[in-house]
Amino acid sequence: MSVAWRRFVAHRLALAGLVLIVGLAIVAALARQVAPHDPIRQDLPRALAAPSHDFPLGADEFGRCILSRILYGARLSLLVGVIATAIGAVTGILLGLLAGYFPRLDALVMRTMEVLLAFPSILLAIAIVAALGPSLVNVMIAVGLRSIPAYARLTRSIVLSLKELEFVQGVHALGAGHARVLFRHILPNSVSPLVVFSSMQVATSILLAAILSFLGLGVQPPTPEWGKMVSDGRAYLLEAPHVSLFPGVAIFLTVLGFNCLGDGLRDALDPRMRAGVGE
Amino acid sequence: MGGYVLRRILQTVPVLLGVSLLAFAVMHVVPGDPVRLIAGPDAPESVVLRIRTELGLDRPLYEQYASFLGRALRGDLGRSLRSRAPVVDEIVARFPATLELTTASMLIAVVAGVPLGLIAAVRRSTWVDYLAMLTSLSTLSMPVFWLAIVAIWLFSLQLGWLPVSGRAGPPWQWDGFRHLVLPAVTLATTSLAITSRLTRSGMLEVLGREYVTTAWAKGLPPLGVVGKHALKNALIPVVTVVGLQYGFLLGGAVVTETIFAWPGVGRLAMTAILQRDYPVVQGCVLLVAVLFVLVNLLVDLLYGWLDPRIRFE
Repeated sequence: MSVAWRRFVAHRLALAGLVLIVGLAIVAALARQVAPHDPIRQDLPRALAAPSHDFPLGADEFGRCILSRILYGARLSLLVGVIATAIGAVTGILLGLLAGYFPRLDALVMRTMEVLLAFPSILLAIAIVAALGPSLVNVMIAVGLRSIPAYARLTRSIVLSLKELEFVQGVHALGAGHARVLFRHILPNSVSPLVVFSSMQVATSILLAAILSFLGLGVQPPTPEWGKMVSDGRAYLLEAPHVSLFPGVAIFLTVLGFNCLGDGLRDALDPRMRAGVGE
Repeated sequence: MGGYVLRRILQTVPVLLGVSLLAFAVMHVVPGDPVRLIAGPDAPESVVLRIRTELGLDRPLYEQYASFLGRALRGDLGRSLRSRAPVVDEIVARFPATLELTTASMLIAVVAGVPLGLIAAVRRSTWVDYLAMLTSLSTLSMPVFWLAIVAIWLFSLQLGWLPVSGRAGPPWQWDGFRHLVLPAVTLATTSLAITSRLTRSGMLEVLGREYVTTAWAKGLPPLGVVGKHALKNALIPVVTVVGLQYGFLLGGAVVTETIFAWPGVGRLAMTAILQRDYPVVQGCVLLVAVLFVLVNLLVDLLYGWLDPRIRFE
C-alpha cells in the first residue's frame, strides 16, 4: 500500500483531484453553515443581480443567491454520482463475476450487455427517465443502468484471467464452494482495477445526471441542481451570463476532480491499465 | 477472411433482435396505462379504445412484439401520435441534418485528435505532453451543454461571428457552414479528447516495440519511423474508437441539436420524449441503436482486415 500511496502522491494531478473532491464533500456536508443565503428563498428585486459583496456569484432570475444554490447543489450531484455508480457497479460486477466464472452463463450475459451497449448512453438514459418519469431516483437508475455493461465486461475479463491462476485452483482443490471462491478469493483480487474504473464512472455519472437535469428530466424545481441551473440561465444569457456560467464551472471542477483522481489511482494501483481510457 | 466476415455478421443478429426488444419495451415500461397518458385524463372511453386498438395494445405481448418486428423490417414504424405522419417519414426528413452534424464532428475529432495524441506521445513527459493531456482531461470533464452555452455567449452574442442556432443549407455554402461550426465543434469535443488520449497511449505502446527500435537503428528519418512504422499500428485501436464514438455522437446529438435548434433526429427524439409521442421515441431509439450496431460491425470487419490476428481469435 505504501508504494501505491507514494506513487499516488507523486502524481500531482491526482492529488489535486483528491483535494478538490474532499473539499467539495466537506462544503456539501456543511452547506447550511457555509452558504451565505437560503438557496430557495426568492428576492425578486435582486433578480439577475451581478456578482457583488452580498451575492459573491450573483443572483438568478428569482433573486436567489447562486453561490448558495451551488453549495447545496453539490450535495445532490455527489449523491447522484455516487449512488448511480454504485447501482451500476453492484449489478455489473455481479454479472461479470457470473459470466466470467460460469462458462454456461457467459454468452447469455455478454450478449445482453452488448444489446445495452448498442444504445448510446445518453439516449438510453433519456429514454428510461422519460418512460419512468422525471425524478431523482429515476435519474440514478437510468444513469446507473448505463454503466452496467462496462462493469460487467471489466469484471469478466479480470475473472477470466484470475480463474486460471494457481491460488484459485488451489482453493478449489481444498474443497471451497463456488460462492466462496468468487467472493472471498476472486473479488478481493479484482478490487484495484474496479476502484480505478469507479472513480472515472462517478465523473461520467455526474455529467450524465447533469445532462438529464439540463433537459428538464431530473430533479424538479425549486431544488438547486447544477444542470438545471445552467439550463434556467440560458434565457438570460445576454443580460446575465453568470447565471449559467457558474453552475457549469461547478460541474466541470467536480468531474475534473474525479477524472484526475481516477488517472492517479490508475497509475498508482494498476500499471497495467495505463494504456486504457475511461470507457 | 470470409469465415470471419460471416461469423461476425451472424453475431450481429441476436444483438439486433435484443435491440428491437428493448426499443419495443420503451412503450411498455411506462408506469400506468400509456393509452390514458396519451389520450389525457378526461378522454371518452371510445377514444381510449380506438388508441388502444390502433397501437395494438389489446393483444398479447408476444404478438405485439412479433407484429412490431415484422412491420419494422418492412420499414413501418407506425405513426406519430402528434403529427399523424408515418414515423419513418419523420425520421427520414431529419436524418440528413444529423448525418451532417455527426460526420462533421467525427472529422473534427479525428483530424485534430490524432495529431494531438501523436505529438503528445512523441514528446512524452515534456510540457507539450502535459499540456495536451491536461487539455484532453479538462475537455472530458466539461459538460457539453454548458460548453455550448458558453460558446453561444462568446461567439454569437458577444462577438457576433456565428449564428446562435438553426441550420441553413448545405455546409459547402457559406451560410450553411457558419451555422454548422458551433454545434459540430461542441459535439466533437468529447470524442476529440478520447481520440487524442487513445492515439497517445497507442503510440507509446508501439514506440516501445522492437521493430520501431530497429527502424531508428537503421537510421530512418524521424518522420519515416513515426509516420510509417509506428502510426499505422497505433491507429488500429483508434479505428475501433471511431466506431464507438459514432454511437456516442448520435447520442450526444440529442443534447447538441436541442441546444442549437438543429433540425435532426436527436431533436426529434427529444421533442417526442417531452410530448410522450411513443412511436416516434421508439423509432428514433431503434434507428440510432441499429445504426450503432451496424457501424460497429463495419469497424470490426475493417479491424479484421487491418490486423489479421483478430480474425483467428
